Amino acid sequence: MTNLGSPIQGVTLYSFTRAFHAREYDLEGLIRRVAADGMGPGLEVIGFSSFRGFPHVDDAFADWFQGLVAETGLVLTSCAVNTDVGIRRDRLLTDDELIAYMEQQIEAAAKLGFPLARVQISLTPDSMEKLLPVAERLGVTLAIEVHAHHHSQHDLVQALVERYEKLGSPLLGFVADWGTTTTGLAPSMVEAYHRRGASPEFLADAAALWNQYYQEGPPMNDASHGGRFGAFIELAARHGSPELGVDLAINATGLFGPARVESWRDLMPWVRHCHGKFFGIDDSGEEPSVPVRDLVALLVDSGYNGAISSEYEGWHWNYWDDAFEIIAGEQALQRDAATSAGSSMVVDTAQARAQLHDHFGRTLSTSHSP
Amino acid sequence: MPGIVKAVCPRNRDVRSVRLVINDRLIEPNSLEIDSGRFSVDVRIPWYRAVPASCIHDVTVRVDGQTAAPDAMRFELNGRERQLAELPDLVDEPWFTTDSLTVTGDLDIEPAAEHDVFVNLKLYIPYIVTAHGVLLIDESLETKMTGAAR
Repeated sequence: MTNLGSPIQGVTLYSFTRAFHAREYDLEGLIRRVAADGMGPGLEVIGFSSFRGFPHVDDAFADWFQGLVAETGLVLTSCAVNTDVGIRRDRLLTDDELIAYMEQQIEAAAKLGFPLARVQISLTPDSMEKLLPVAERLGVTLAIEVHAHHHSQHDLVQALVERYEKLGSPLLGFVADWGTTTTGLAPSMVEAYHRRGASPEFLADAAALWNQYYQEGPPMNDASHGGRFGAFIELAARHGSPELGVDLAINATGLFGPARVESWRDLMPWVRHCHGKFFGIDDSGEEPSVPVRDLVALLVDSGYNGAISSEYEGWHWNYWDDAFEIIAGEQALQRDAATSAGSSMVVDTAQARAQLHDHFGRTLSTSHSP
Repeated sequence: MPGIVKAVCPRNRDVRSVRLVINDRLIEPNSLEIDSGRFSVDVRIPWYRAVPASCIHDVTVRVDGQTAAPDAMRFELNGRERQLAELPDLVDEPWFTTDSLTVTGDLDIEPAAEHDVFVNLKLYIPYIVTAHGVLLIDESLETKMTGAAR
């Protein structure tokens, strides 16, 4: 019998993309606001989004950053790094170049004090094996994000699991993104398409097509995904909105995954971090398209003691609502869900720090503790 | 509650341009400057993260219907000004999330209370590789602003 888990509440600064991009907050201001609003203690940052000059990080900046995090009572959970194979214009990076490129970012994540680097699924099992010595040298967990259109049973994920089992390292794992297991298209996105000229018939058919795929289950390989992607483009063309086709196809297949919540269970031994992906909170305080209650209940039931980064992605189409208020709504929902599941979310800094220490099996940076 | 389901989009937004990218901010408001045949306008990255300057494929600027000649255009990033042809080699020169790419060029216009400013940016997204190669986003925005004399 597994003990019930107590996931750590947290947020990724990605949720505030529009506010940061608009220069309403600089990095320090955003971190202070997140802390003041009680959205931590977990803090996730995308390296290339928030750190100027990333992955080049000097000592003074790393000291300043860790000092700020300690002062504000936050705890670093995950630094998202990117698989930029396409930075050159003449060709893609070779495997060796990509490994070196990733190593630089993982070193930056470690220097900034993050216990985990989120990597992307374009890294192969071979690449992960090559990066394992880097993870071991730095004591950083490498976790591949499982994000729609992929899911726990997808060929690529299963190939990684196989390799992880062979390597047997506690430093390899996954980030579970909740957009993998949604139950429908977000009402706010459907509304945004309506405002962009999509007819009610088109939107009803798009919802029906998505529901059909939900019934059929998620695509088991990239060929199947490609077929669905094309079907959404065709649907838009058939309804006289060809300009919306690619956009709809990207969103309907890449943001709203049709896998079941239960599909995460087999992957849980490898899940080191979660993206609490969501798109909006309705008037009753619920998420209309992401089964947040079921997802939190599964984490609790699985004994998960890592962090959940609230990851608000409705900002892509919602230009008008305040992201802070929406995220506070999702975190309230998560806390309520954890209580309903017989546990609670961890919101205390010291408890979060101690729990992450056990979760990652390493000492978190405490050199700047107040 | 935030209630985004019933949220009202402000009337002055062109909601047809709502995309996965942040292209409603492609042009920095009121950044147009005009001085004796040269103009300057600030272009914002329409993405959530920094990419290297090598990912900037092309930039077009049109003011009041006149398109700036590519050869005379210059691009300032991180305090250095360059020509478009120099950008592909800059794999280690970031265009940061909150920085402007300041574009200057030749245009025969006079400062006025209102100008139509159009910008098109073609930008590679280096971590997304499609069947057609590295994803190239093609974003345009047209907006009105004053033209300040430099």
